[in-house]
Amino acid sequence: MPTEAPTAAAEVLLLEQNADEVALIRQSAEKSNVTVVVECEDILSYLRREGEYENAPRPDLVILDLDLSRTEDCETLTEIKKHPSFKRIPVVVLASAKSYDVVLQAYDLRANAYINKPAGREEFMRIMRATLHFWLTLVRLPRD
Amino acid sequence: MERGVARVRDHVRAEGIEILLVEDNPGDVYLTLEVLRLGAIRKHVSVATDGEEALNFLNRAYEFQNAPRPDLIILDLNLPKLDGREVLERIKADPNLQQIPVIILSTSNAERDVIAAYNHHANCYLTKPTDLDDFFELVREIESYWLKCVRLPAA
Repeated sequence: MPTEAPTAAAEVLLLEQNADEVALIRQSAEKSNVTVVVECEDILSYLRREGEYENAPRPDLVILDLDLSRTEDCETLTEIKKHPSFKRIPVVVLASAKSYDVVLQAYDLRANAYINKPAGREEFMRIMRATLHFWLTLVRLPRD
Repeated sequence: MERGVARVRDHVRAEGIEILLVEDNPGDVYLTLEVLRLGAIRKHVSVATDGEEALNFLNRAYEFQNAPRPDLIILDLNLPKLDGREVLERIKADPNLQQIPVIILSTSNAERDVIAAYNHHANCYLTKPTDLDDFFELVREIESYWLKCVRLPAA
């Protein structure tokens, strides 16, 4: 049950390099607007409304497909969660790594939630739908 | 209600996902425990009824030497002794505890509470519905998402 009556389509910012996964996520998103970027630095440019992103709306949810063994990926998450304004935007990290250390690291870096990417398409869509449903219709988001 | 003891529901085995519920309203405690008990995922729920008790539990202080480490915390904001806002701040400032996802579940819909919670790295903020059915449904949704979809840090 939503705590706020939705007035406009939700905005989702997605970092995802795999075209298949992008397609599955878009399919799961239905009425939400999904903006896809493929580079970490574009996530920050988008949030900062730099260059081509100068009219970008503030996302309601950020989904990052990260490789946490890469410094740049970790820094992107850190930058968002340190920023006095962007830190309040929920960030869901998708990753293939299953090891305990990587999961812990994501939460240490202030990810709001960590999702293990399932191998199967159906399961992947189920999890993405559940994610969008939870964050965009149930959660009380800040009115930033 | 009994103070100072991690409340164990006898028929829930102490395995599976460890949840700490921090809630002072006995009615809300009862309802939340009931809905979680009915959920399929194996879990164990401990209850703290004030902020001080919650922190002692998390720090394994005093009578809580053997308290299980929670995989997930459901935290009300308006609590006796130590306010939930303070509890959240302390959890998320503690390098040993900050990884534990904290779900704020509060009657407050005040924007300043929501902003403050996210500023202090609450993992999500949920407003408690006043309608009973809606409350049940919300707790079911918490289980569906946080216990089935999300990978928790320790579980």
